[in-house]
Amino acid sequence: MTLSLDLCLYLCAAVFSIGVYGVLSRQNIIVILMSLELMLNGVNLAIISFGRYFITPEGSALSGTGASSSQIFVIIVLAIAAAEAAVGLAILLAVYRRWRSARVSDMRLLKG
Amino acid sequence: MDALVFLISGVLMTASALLVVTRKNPVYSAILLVVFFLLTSLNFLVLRSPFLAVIQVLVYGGAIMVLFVFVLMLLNLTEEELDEKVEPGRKLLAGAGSVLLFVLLAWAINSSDRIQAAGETDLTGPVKESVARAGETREIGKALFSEHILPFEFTSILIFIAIIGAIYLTKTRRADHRRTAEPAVKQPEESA
Amino acid sequence: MDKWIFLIPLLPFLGFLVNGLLGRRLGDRAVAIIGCASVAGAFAISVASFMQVYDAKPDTFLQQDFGAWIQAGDLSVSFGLIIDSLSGVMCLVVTGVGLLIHVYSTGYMKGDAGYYRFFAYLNLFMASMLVLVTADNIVLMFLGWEGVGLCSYLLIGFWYKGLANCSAGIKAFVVNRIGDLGFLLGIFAIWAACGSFEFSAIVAEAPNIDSSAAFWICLLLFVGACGKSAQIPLYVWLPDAMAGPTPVSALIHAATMVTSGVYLLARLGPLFDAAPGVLTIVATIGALTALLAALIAFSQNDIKKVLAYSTVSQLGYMFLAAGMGAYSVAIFHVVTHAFFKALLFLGAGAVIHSLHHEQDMRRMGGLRRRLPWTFALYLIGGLALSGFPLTAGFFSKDEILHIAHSGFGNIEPRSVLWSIGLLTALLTAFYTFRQIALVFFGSYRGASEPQASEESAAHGLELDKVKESPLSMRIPLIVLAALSLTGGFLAIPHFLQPGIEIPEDGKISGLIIGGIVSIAGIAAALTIYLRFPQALKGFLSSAPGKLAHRLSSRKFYVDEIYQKLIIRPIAIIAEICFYVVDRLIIDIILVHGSSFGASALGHLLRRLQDGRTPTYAAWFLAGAILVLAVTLWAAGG
Repeated sequence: MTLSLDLCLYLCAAVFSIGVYGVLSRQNIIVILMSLELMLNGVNLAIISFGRYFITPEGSALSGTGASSSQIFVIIVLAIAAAEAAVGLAILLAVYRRWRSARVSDMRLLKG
Repeated sequence: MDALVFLISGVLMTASALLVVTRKNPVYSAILLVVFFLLTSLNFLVLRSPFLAVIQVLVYGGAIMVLFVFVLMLLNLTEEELDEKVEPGRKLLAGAGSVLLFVLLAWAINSSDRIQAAGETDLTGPVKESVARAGETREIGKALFSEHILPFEFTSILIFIAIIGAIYLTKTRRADHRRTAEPAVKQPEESA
Repeated sequence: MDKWIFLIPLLPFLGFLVNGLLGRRLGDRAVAIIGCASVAGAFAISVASFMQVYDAKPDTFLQQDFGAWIQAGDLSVSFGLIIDSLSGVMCLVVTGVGLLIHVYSTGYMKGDAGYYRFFAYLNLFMASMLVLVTADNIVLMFLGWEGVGLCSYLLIGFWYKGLANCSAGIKAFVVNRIGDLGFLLGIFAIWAACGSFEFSAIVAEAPNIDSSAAFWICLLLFVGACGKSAQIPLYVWLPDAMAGPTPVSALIHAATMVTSGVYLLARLGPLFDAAPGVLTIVATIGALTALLAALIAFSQNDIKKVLAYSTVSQLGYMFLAAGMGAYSVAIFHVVTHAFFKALLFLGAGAVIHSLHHEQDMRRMGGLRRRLPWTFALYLIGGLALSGFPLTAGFFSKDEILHIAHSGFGNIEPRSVLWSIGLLTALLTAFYTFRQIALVFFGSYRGASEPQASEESAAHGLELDKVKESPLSMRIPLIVLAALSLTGGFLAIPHFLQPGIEIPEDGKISGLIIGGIVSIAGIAAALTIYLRFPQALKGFLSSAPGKLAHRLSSRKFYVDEIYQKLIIRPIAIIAEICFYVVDRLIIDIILVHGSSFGASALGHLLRRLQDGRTPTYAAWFLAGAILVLAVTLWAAGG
């Protein structure tokens, strides 16, 4: 049994699409934020899969520290995800305090 | 063996992700999300990224999830507030959209020559000792603090700004106290 | 004196500026003084210049050049003025008659709300007319030509509150534009043929111009002259132009502006000599216009309309003379006509003034006792117009008829045109004295007859309330009457064309025939209208009489024919353009369409901006899917 690259990518696409579905179909802002985390994880997994693919039995296709590039990438995504979650939840708290609602449909001031 | 682990974990990931987005009670969603994070961490291990696997558990499964649960408890939404009253049409539309997205992504993966050419490569196969350590803490640290120092510093600035923003947003002002005290504005306010 | 000729047009122009800009503050008296003084100054300089030209040898002239006015490549138009014998005579007539009419206007327009405006326009007209006359090149002449057209329009519509006045002004302007187009094309053709705009250069070049080129140039210039001088087929504007104040009719539409077509022909005489075909056309159109206008003048009831058609008719005589190549004779008639027609118009104005703006001759009659001065002066004008022996009109008209009968220079005699001219002379005498009989003889009908014409403003003025006009209006009349009586003894043709050879054969018999015809016409008119009015009524009620009267009073339906053949089709095209191009394409499709499209698009795009985050997210997904699909389709394709 072997693990091929496209199998990994199908999994990532599935997780990402499920995240999209969550973002679009849910009203609860907390769940929407969770769905966003799902999407980010799907992307992270894809990055790691690509990075692993470039490490062949003969060595890395990427020279120097390039072999660790995918890891770095994911670390940065992770940091951004943490920041996003923190700010998102802070906004949620502020909104909830203002309108007593965590429903995304009640946030309808985003228009000119 | 590794491949099998990856596959089983992948199926469970998909299932838990689906449950995350479909559970009505966000507490269940949060718990299922932890499961999802742990499974992802397992897959990272299979793909020879031990450092990330640990980070995944620590940051996602720990810090971020604690944040979510903490907010959930803080809001303490009632049963009525948890009822999202999503119209079926919208759910259908969202489902159709995401399925379409998945189909297109799968088509892209399927039609890419390079990805298909890589199909023969076993991602769980053996690798040379010199590069096998690329996913380990030591190598990552070297790369992070030499070649990728600039993005790293930017990330730290970003997180710093996020901290300030989060504190600013959640700070309770006196005006808000007064508002919350008045029952008249309890209803969601219509846009102007 | 040649240093000062620029003042001839400049003084009236300054008068225009002062009156036009400050007239409202200056008060009527100051406006009148400025208006008259500026023209008087121009007249004085004209006289001085003329004397210098007159004393010197033949072919001398005064010229003043102010350098290039328009310069583009090879083309150069100078702003140059010239006083030679021809323009000197014209200057004298324009400034002299103009001065008299200015003086007259001070009385006639007294109390009018637009007093200063009137004098400003009148001064502007004088300036333009003098530029036209004194220009030494055809482009500068065209400037004056357009200037007088503009003033004519402004003054016809002077009482702009009456719709009829405004439309008469527009009609005059539009008909003149048609002629001006011909003139302008003629100017272009002259440039192509001669390479110069200077009259002297054109005249010098004239014999060398290819004959077909000369034909077309002259024909185009003649179209311009037709428009300005009211010849067939462009005469229709002049009778309507009588809507303007009477001094305007006298100055612009009788004495000066309308003769500028004749002046143009005389100025470019050698050029027209090179195009005998055009001369034939000119002579024929002149004779036909003379006859047609005289026939129409027969049945007009408006005192000024009779004079207007008479003017058209007399202009026809001038063109007949010009068409015979006898330009100096044409100018001779211009001069005498300016005297007696101005006299008649001003006399008519005095009658109108005395009757409080009554113009309908059916509501006049018997005025000779109440208005003895006006009657005597009008009678002199009428005699001159009829060609009564020894008056001004007698000599100039019979000179024209004589050369038509005997031929002139290389031009063969034109017996047909001569007989038309003679018939017209008879008709002229008849309708002139029909008018005098209706206005001054018989019994007064103003008080009794019901409102005969819608245009008349008077409401039954009693005869004993009719008063003579003031002195300021009478003095110009007296001067003009003196000129009308003596003007015929001026040897203008011999002065303008020193070597002129008018055949002596039959000259005396021509004069005798002319005199007999004139007296016969006068006698017939007076007899019929004073002795046998019943016979006239009987004739008019018979079938041929009715038909004749109908044709004449309806002006041979020329206006109606123009309306049907020219104006209607143009109006229909304009309507189509209005509804299809303007309304449909521009208004509905372009203007409303774009605004509707913008607002529809706005309504559509508003849906994207409903302020709900999920909607934005959904559109975001749609965009992502679209980009992905397009990329894949492009890569796959």
